[in-house]
Amino acid sequence: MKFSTHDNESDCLTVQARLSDYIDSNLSARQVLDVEGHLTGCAHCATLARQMQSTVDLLHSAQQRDTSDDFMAKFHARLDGVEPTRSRGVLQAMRDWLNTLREPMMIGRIPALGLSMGVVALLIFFAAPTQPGHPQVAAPSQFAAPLSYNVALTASNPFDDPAAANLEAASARKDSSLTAETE
Amino acid sequence: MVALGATMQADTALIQRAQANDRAAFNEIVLRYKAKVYNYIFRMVHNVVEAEDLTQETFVRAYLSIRSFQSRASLNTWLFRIATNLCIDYSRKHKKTQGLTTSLSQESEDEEETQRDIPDVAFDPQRLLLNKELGSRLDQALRDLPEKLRTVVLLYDVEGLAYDEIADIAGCPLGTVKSRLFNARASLRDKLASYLGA
Repeated sequence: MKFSTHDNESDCLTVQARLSDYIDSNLSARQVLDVEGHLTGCAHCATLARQMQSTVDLLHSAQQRDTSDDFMAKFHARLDGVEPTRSRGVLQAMRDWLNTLREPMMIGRIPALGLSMGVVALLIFFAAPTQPGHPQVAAPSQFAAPLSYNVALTASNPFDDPAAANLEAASARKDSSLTAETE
Repeated sequence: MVALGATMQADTALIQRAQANDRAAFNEIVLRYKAKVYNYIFRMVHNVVEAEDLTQETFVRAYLSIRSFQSRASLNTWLFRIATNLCIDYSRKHKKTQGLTTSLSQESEDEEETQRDIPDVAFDPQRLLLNKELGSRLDQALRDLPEKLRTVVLLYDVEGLAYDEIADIAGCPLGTVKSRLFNARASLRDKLASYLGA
């Protein structure tokens, strides 16, 4: 479509609708010729085109702000608050902790960290088994007590439970056969 | 274009590390994008405190869902999508109090600007860019735009996103993005006309 160069309302509206695409170079070569031909002869549309170009230039160079100085500190605190919702590995937790040590603000906390590491080392030392090669095995008496307690409970059968009565009878039979065998 | 590709490659490496629970890698992502996201959100909500809060929330949400991020979208687009959704939520929640907030923030700005409320007829973009007044007029004109138009013009003209990326973020067809961009620019031009000259 070829626009006339004199002020024609419908031509003006068509060109004005294309100004945004014209500025972004999104028109075909033919459309560019049409728009530029119209702008040459229409002072009103030419002004609108210049003003729109200036608006776009202004937006492109809009002032850039930055976040506050404590943005990252606040962000880390916020992230720590939501961290439990996301499972972290032990290795990652240690890595994060080591990363925090790199921050300058942590330098002042080194004595406290050293003390806490010492306490942890002592706890590990005292909690470790006395003979590392031989794991400690529980004494038989440690198992015998709960077993006899359970037997005593089932033997008492305070609620006359038939199942418990059967268990009690079976236990008595087993005891008597064991006694007979030892004799 | 080469620089953009390099950035995307670096982003991909950071994303992979962040997806493997590397918090240092995610920190790097935050440092890389916080200013862009903050600027966008600030121009959407026009409140420094809320903008910073929403920027942090954007990155917290990104952190929590980084594992589900797929590289078919760029990190930039993904972060702006989260930020846009948060701004929409904010706008809905604060619609009733928005008028009061705007008038209060405007009041403080007007106090500074009353001394220089004279339009500059001789337009020189480079010089006017340094003009604080024009910057505040632009912010005011952006503030007056409907949210849908503001989103598109900020993402396209300020943040430099492509039409298809904006269509993805705004959840609308490409043609709608273009028409919103045109309407937004035309509206801004009309509001700034006295400062832009003939």
